[in-house]
Amino acid sequence: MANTWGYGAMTNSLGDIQNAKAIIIFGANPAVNHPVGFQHFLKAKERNNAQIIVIDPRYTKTAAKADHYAQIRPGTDIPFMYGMLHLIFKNGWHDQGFVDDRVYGMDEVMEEAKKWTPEKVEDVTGIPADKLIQITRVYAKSTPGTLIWAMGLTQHSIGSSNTRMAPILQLALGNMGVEGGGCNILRGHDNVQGATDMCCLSHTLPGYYGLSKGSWGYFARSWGVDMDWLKGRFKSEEMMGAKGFTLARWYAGVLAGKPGEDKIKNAGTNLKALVVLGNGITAIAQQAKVKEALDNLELIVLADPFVNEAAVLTDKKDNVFILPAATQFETSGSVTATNRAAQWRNKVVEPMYESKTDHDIMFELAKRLGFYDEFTRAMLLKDDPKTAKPVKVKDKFQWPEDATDEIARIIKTIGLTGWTAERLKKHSENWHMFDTVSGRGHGPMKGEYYGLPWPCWTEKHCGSPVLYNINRSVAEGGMGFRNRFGLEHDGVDLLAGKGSAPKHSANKDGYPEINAKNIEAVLGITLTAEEKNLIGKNWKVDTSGIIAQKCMEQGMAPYGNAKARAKVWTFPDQIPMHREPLHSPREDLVKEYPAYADKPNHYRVDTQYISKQTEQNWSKEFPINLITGRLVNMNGAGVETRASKYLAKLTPEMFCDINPGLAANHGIRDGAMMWIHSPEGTKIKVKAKYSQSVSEDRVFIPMHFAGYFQGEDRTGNFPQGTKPYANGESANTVTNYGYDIITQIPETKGGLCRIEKA
Amino acid sequence: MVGIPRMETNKSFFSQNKAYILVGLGFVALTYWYFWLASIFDINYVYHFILRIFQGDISGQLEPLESMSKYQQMEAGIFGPRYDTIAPEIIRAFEERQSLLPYVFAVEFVVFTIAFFVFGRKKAKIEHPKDTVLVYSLFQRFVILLNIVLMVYLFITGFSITFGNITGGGSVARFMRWTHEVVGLSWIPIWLILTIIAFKDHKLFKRKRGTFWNKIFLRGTYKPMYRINYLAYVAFGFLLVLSGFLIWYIFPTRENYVEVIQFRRLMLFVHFMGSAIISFFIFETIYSYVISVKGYLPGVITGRLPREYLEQLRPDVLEEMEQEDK
Amino acid sequence: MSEDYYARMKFYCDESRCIQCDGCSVACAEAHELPVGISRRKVITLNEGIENKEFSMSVACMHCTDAPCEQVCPVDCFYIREDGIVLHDKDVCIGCGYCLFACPFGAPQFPQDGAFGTKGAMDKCTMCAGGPEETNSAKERELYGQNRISEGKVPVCAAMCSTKALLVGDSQDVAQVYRERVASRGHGVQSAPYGWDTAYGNK
Repeated sequence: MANTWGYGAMTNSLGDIQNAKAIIIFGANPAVNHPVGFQHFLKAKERNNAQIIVIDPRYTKTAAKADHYAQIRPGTDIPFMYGMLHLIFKNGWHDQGFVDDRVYGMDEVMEEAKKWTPEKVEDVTGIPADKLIQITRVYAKSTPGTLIWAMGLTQHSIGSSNTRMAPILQLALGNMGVEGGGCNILRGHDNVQGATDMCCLSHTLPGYYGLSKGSWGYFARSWGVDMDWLKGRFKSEEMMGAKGFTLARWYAGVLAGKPGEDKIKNAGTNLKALVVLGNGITAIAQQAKVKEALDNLELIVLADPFVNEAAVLTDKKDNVFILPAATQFETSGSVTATNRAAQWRNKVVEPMYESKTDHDIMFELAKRLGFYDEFTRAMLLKDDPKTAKPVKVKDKFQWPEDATDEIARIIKTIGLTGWTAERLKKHSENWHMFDTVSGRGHGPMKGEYYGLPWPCWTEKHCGSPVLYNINRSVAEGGMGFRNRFGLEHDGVDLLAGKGSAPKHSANKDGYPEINAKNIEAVLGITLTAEEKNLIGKNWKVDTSGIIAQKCMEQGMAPYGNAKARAKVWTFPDQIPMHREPLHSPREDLVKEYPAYADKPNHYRVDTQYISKQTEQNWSKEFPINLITGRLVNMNGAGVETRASKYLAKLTPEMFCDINPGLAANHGIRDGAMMWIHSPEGTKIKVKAKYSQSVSEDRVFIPMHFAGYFQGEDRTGNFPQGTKPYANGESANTVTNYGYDIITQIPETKGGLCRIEKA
Repeated sequence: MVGIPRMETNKSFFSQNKAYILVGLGFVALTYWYFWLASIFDINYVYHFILRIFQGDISGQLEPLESMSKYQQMEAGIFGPRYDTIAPEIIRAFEERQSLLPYVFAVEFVVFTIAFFVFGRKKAKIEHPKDTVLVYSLFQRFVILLNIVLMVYLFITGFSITFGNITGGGSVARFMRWTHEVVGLSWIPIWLILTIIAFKDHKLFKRKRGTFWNKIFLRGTYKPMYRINYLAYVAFGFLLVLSGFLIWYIFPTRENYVEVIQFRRLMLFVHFMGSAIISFFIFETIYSYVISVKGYLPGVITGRLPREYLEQLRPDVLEEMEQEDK
Repeated sequence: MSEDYYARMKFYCDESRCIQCDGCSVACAEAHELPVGISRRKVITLNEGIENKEFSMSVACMHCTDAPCEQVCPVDCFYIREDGIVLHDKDVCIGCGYCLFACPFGAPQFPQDGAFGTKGAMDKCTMCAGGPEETNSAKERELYGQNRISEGKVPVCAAMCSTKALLVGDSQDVAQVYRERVASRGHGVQSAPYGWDTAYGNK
């Protein structure tokens, strides 16, 4: 999504869904995963007569509340959306004016869409042609329409194409930048948006700055840390700018060199140590490889309030450390919700027994490794307006307020400048003063949106609840699409069309992102000499804050006003193209829509695509589609919720939802044990549960269980008194090899398996 | 027709079968009263429900769900089959009308008293009380006595529930309720054993004779009155055992509630019916073994009965014993 | 003289909003620290997986008018408050189970851990109104769970409902909310909430 229009986050908000007239949900299950947020969907249905359309391989709880449901074959979302676009363009239901002014590259999409007739879509996706027509008509004609997705769309080897296809659909219909519209990706865990914003990822610095030399330089300055010292932490400058391993494939770094394993580019060494700070690594695909990697590490450290089940999974007996981490109730700080808004949480109890908060664990580690001073220096600094450089203002930092202010001071890419600790606390203390649908504040909070959804350009800005909305001024949270991809491509102007700037903008047309060189020309102002001296190179690294301030005065967004692009010329597929999953049940379509070419050095791992897909005809031996998903009473890797007796009582055992017809063909009775075999050679033993929600060519397994491995009970490894009430096989023992071409997210939603009576 | 042996009789049909007829009348009256007491709303439903159970479907949902309106389907799916066909009237009836039970018992008592005065009491003249014969083996005595003790206890604890207003609830009453279940379970094997060993109508099948077998199976043949007692014991004991066991065994849980509740209600109805009728036969047994015939109580404990007693009142037992000795 | 109005407390579960998140049943078990075998409130889903037919509903004691459980109890351990909440005395209860047979909704629950499968004293939803013990005493808390009604708080199941499918309160207020939802939905609604005619008759 970021490659389409600039930011890759939910564009509207949950409350805003109540303004929609049509809600189409691809591969998301908000009734299970966002039960409280789902009331907004239901209220939209009730009060706004909104039509809910669900596209999902199985009939989920969300589908039970839908007006239209299409049971799609896993991994075929792009053909479906092309099918919709085919009908939309054919019937002229698209918003041509919007496309002309604010979208680049739609013509190629139109060409491709011509190929996807309803009959072709039916063949590939399994959805009847008349259903496609009905859904498209309903969705295109009920505007504003909002498009929801989650892991069902992203966890594919073409996930990055899927997540571009959905914005293209919305752009064609003109549903972007309006209330009740937008692309609303539902983030899963508590504060996962905050973690993403801080980029606990291996390919960028916090705030999506990337790993370029300029970004490192900016952070070195902002942190008050010597650049050479920072460089010295890396083996070479090349490694400093190189993307690291991902959560999906870290184990490849350990296992490289063994026969059959992907090669790595890790400066000539394998991974030796692993420190896990609150991550359920037993919920990552290819658990058998994870286990092997854990067994081969020299050091494992797991910090969690509950015993991370990696400790149970591994056979390693020494140098495995379990650190008790404190929970969210024993610490305070800001958290970011799926709609980009922040809230403040307060500590209600001191850390219990021997547990330490995550930051204390990291500080202790930093002290012993010798860089505590550099690690915490930034919290003692403030930007001096006279010199536009950070200076030390105190000797001791106050956690977490100073950390929050540091973030606000430094992160400008997503406009966190307004997120000072003081403002966030005030919002959370006055949360009853905000409207639940629009987020607008009343009384003492008048003029601000709840949680100051980023971008919040200055310390006075009100927050931006609906992204890309040009019907509002920038001061009120409006903006155009981001100018991120240059000024023109192939001779076509990439800036927004004439007259399509946010309200009250000094510049009425499209304009580029603001930097020191073009600020006067674009904004139509003159800077003083002092300002010229202090101003930063561009709006992202402007420590002085002058760019943001001037932009606000002129009613313009610092990041520019450009066209969204339907065509991403840096991607292997410039416009999204359908490719079959690596393990596809349709051998004939594999030939027609093959996977990508193999990608070397994909986050340091040589990753297979086409060679894996064509290794053999997987569908012959493994004919059943494997779907994974969540349960409402469980969370993530599950160790916390399975240790809670009432939650465990609801689903005490690992199970597999299986169609009675399919089960009967294999002689599996309701409640009997069955084996699920995967193309990786692994297998799990689970209980069969008859369900009509899956069709006869697929089964569903929940992802929250762990403790058993390929039929073997490993719960004896738990330290005494820490074993959860419910244990079972992990679904990820049988998820298949397959990773997205850009993000390396595992293809857990598009796998195959073979079932057998146990 | 010639050739068919016919019992010499100058008795009328009535006097020959009076036991059956009288008991039959009493049984019919009691059953009618029970059904009136229970005021089952829909006896037609009960009849069809029972037929369905024999076909294997105990849910009680007689109409196919598809034939009902969506609202009714949803209600049946959540709350169970048509509730008012079988509940709460039976239970409410027992609660509200429990004060009638003592009257029923009183009526039964009066009936048997009248019978005592009308039909008199048979006695045996005993001149040689020491001349006794071992009639009941140790095993038989144990089973019979245990049966009496358990049945009395079950009677008391069972009706303590019905007369809960008198007991007033609380931990003692709860204890009696709990022991009713436990003792009821332990009565099952006793009932079974007694049913087998008291199967005296062996002219229906050839039973092995001999001392060993007679230590297990009771000796003698049944007179009509006693045969009725035995049959009632077997039949209603079976109903009580089956229904009681099922009520205990099918523990109602969150998951199985809708499927089993109607069946459990039916079992409760059967259990109550069994207990009301068997209480009648308890009185009847006391009457026939102790009142209408002067019994010899020490015999049940020592196992020995005076020979003259046997000669006069139980010649069939004596005959069997003589056959054994041969 | 103004007419005195007594509240009549009722539950209502809107099956078009219930998503079987089980938040109500877990909240109830958690708030009253129930043993695992007892489900005072349970969520039932019918026609699972069948398109356009699946629906879920949360069920607990309906606190009926003319409650049949109260009528059949042989030891008379039930008492009904003026606001309609049906409560019982666990010390008097003998665990005979008649209330379970009589209840149309399956509200009475029995602990499963007794010796020889005995039922023990009955337990059921109290609408968070405690029991006959002294209000908010430790004994009441132990036997019956929290007494939120006495503190003016909403029963915990409805308070926790994710989608506000489960409503509780004075019957007129609940009926008003229901009526509004019916009107805004405008189609496909049944004549009365499930179970209300069995539980409350015409009252």
